[in-house]
Amino acid sequence: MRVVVADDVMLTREGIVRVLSEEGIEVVAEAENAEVLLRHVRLDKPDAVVVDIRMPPSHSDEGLVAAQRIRTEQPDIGILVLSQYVEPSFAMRLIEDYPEGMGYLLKERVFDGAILVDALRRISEGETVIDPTIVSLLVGRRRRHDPLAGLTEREREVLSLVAEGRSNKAIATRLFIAERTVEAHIQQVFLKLRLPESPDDHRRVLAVLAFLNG
Amino acid sequence: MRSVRYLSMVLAVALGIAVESAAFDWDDPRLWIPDLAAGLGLILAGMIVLAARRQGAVGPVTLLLGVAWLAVDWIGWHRGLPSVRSLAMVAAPYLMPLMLHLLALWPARRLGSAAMRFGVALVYGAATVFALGQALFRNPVLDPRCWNNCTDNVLLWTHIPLVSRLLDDGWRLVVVATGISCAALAVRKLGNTTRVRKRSLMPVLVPAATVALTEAARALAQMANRLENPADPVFGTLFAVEALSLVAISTGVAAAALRAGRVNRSISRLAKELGDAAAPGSLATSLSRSLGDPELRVVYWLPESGRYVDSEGRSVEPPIGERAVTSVVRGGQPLALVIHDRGLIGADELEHKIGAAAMLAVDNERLRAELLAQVEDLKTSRMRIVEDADIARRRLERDLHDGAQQRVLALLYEFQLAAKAAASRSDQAAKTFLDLAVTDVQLALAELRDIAHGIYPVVLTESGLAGALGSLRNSAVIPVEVESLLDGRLSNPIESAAYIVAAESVRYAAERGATYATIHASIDADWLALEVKDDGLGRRGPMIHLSDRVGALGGRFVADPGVVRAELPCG
Repeated sequence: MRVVVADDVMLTREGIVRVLSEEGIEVVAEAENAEVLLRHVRLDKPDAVVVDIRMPPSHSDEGLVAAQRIRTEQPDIGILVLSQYVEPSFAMRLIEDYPEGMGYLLKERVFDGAILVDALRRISEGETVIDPTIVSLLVGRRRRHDPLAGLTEREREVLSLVAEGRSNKAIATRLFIAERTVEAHIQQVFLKLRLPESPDDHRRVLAVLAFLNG
Repeated sequence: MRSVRYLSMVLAVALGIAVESAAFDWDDPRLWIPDLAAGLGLILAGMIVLAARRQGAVGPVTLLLGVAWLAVDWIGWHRGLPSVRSLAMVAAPYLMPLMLHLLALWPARRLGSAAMRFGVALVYGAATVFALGQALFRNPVLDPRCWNNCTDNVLLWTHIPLVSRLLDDGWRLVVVATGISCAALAVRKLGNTTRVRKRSLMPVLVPAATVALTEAARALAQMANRLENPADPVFGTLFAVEALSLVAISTGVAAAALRAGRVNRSISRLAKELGDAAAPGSLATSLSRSLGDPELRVVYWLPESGRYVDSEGRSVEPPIGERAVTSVVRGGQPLALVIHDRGLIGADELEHKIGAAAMLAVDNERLRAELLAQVEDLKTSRMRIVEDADIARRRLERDLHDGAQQRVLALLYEFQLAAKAAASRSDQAAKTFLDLAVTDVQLALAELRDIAHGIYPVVLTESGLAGALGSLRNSAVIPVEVESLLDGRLSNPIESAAYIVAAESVRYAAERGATYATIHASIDADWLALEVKDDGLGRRGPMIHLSDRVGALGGRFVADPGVVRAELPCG
């Protein structure tokens, strides 16, 4: 897998490159801002990019803007946005138009090679990746009339994993249950939360996140 | 109304003149002049009081006094109509009760005590009994004591000399008693009052008491069986004293009414002048009107801050260019500049025109402009302080993010590398220790993130108030519902202030044991309205820092139990 890494802080950028190299992923280029990133994306045609949400000049949401540019220019490139903000609305903004092959990961996870590589692999397979911390924040949010109160513990787990963007197969593996059981749980959850059933994995991430954030 | 008043005045004069010609034939000026003056004076004074209104019974009583006084003359109208003479005979006795009434009234508009009302009514009643009794039972032609009304009585029913005699004697007793009562009343009224008030009471009370006493004296004289004859020196003197006293009464009553009117008028003039106190900028307006220069401006020099301001206290550039500038200087100190058309007037002439009187206006407006300028300065500096605080918070958040957080992140990376290396060396002790360190660093990162978010949530910069309020639900310790009707972005200070009000109110709600809070945000007519409701029970602090922040931006802040409301201008 060929990857471009974009982060304005050299220390972090070097760390990510090193973790990726150790895991056998080829880093074709490094960028310190969005402009350089876009140039490399056009020149090097990578499989995926790892981009910091916050870069010069304004140090705000450059990473999100760059991700949207890349997505419109070359829709088949996977995009993993690294962020220090546990902010569901940012994650939703990233995936709202086209969730396939998009990921929003908290920055502190990237030095864990396994997590980083897993995320990149899922993205390259077209899955959506939402950081578990963000999902648990949404699921754990205090609500006056909590619709999640009607879910069983297992259904809640399944809901969280769906919100993280995982496939039925991955959820089955994670929970040590059969894929058909996962399907049944998901059906139950959607029924209880009165969500329109969606066969498409990516759309269902959006639906669940929008429900949780609503 | 006014024409009716003039008409009745003309009628009164005509009546008076007619009476004089009837009774005295203009023979003896010593008789008819005081007689006419007294009657007309009273009628006139009564009308003046009536015209001034608000004087209660004083007006009619004075006027009727004049009529009753002149009625005596009608009785003696030798060549006149018997009916007129008869009616005049009925009217004349009322002089006495009217006099008592006026004395009892003065200077109030109405009779004070019930006893006073009873006394006055008693004398009116006695006069009525006497007047009607005489009219019904006395035939003047058959009365040996008659002197000026010895003709026929048209109201006569039947002549009973005894009744007439008894009524005559009784009435005289009443007149004597009333006269003495009047004098006593006047003395009591004058005794019970301040010196200033005495001065305003005497012109009416003293002559009124005199009239009453002369009436009593006349009654006594008649009781002594003297024939009432103007040639008799006793009756002549009494007549003169009474007439002059009546003139004095009319003067006193009229003067008091006129004085009251004057006081009223000057008070309303004062009120109008106070109400018309010069509005800001009116100096420029009146100057521009009198000079015929619509573009004339006046600016004021503020020596302390070394700048010019307009009448509203707004800073203005020192004027340069085509227009003429006249400096208003006092004691070598510049006060103001008048900027006007060069052709219209010279500087000297303008200075002359502004003059000493307008100096006061210049001073006033300059002081006002100075105050307004200071208020404006305070407002801007207050707003600047709030904005600076916001900028500082944002910078702090950024510094935390780009500095400390990056360092800790690097630390995390290095610990993870070390842990990996330890694992590959199978150094289990080091691995356990390094894994613990990794967990600690991750906790430190999470805490750092929370602190940065608390200092300034980046979502406020990125997504505006609506996004930040939505994010508030994730960090709040109680359930928060957000009803946001916001669309688009507002200015930074407004969004920050509104967010801080919402976040702090939710925090306070939780501290007060609330189980939930609802935030409502909407924009109406360029005002952002933010309302936070909760079901907390404890007492809420004054929330001064919130009201200060909102106030600094020109907004309004109200904290009631269970609801906090902030309104911010966002036009």
